[in-house]
Amino acid sequence: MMNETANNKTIIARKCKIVGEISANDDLLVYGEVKGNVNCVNDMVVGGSVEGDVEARELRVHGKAENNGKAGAIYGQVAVANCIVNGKIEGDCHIEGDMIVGSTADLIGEINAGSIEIQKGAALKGSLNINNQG
Amino acid sequence: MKWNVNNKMMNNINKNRQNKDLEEDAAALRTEEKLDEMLANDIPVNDSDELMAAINRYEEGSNLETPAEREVSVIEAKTTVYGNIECEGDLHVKGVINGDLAVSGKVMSGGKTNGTIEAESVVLHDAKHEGDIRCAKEITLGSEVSVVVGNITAQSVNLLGKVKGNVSVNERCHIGAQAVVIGDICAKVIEVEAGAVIKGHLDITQDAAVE
Repeated sequence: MMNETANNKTIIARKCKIVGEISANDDLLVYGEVKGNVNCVNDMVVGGSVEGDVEARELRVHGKAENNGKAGAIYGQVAVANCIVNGKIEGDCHIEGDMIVGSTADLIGEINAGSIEIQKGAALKGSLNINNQG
Repeated sequence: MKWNVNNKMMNNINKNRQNKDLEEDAAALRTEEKLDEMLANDIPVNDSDELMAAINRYEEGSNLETPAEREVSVIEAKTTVYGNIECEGDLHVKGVINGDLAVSGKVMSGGKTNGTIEAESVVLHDAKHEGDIRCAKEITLGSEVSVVVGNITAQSVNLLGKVKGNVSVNERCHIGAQAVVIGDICAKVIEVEAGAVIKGHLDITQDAAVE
């Protein structure tokens, strides 16, 4: 039935706007606009904008280059296992595992991460707390 | 294929198509040209083609980043949305939405929705909906299992499922053999298959000539 390893994907398309909470046990791709908290058990991709707190397993915030000239943005707290950011996050980030901050990333807020990689060109404002004890 | 739900949908649509063929034959026997025309116009062949196209688009996109995926919004089976959705383009619902939907294109639902739906056209298949539905074009309740509790307003309506609420249609209202309608029906043209259950007033006002 539906329990194949390939996860189903909930897709919020470019011109779609959701005002309210989302709770997803599928992969979640946001290319549109979400105003509200998002709780995603699986992987999440943000190419649009999310105004609200985000919980996910693996989070990817797209930069302009990956996303037809429009960077993904999150305005709110982020709590995820692993994270790759090329877009914008305004809010505190709690990353259990690895965080990769790409060259086009723009981060404002406190960052707590297990480990971090910051590429040349990234903009960061806030404190870093990197603790790779596990 | 992983899209079992859709397969089922397709089968049902195919089944409906076969039924329609039979209906057409029956209608031809009655030698009413008008009826023939209307039946022919209403066969949901396009739905299945569109559905197939949409499915293909998703299946190709096992890599997350195909642009085609960005045109259709999909609320998957294990996803719940608590809030309103405004959407330019199509929306496919397999999960649960508690909130109003305003969609410029087509809403295809096999999930549970709760709230008002406004869309160009709506296809509900094995879906449950509570709330009003307003459609610029067509509403299809595409299986006996589909349930709508709320009022339906549309250009044309094809009911094979259950409705509790008033149905008002500008053009043609087709009610299938397994359908149940509890509420008033207002339409220009109505067509009811033998076996349908209707409890409510009928108001069939046809300005054009009856013949």
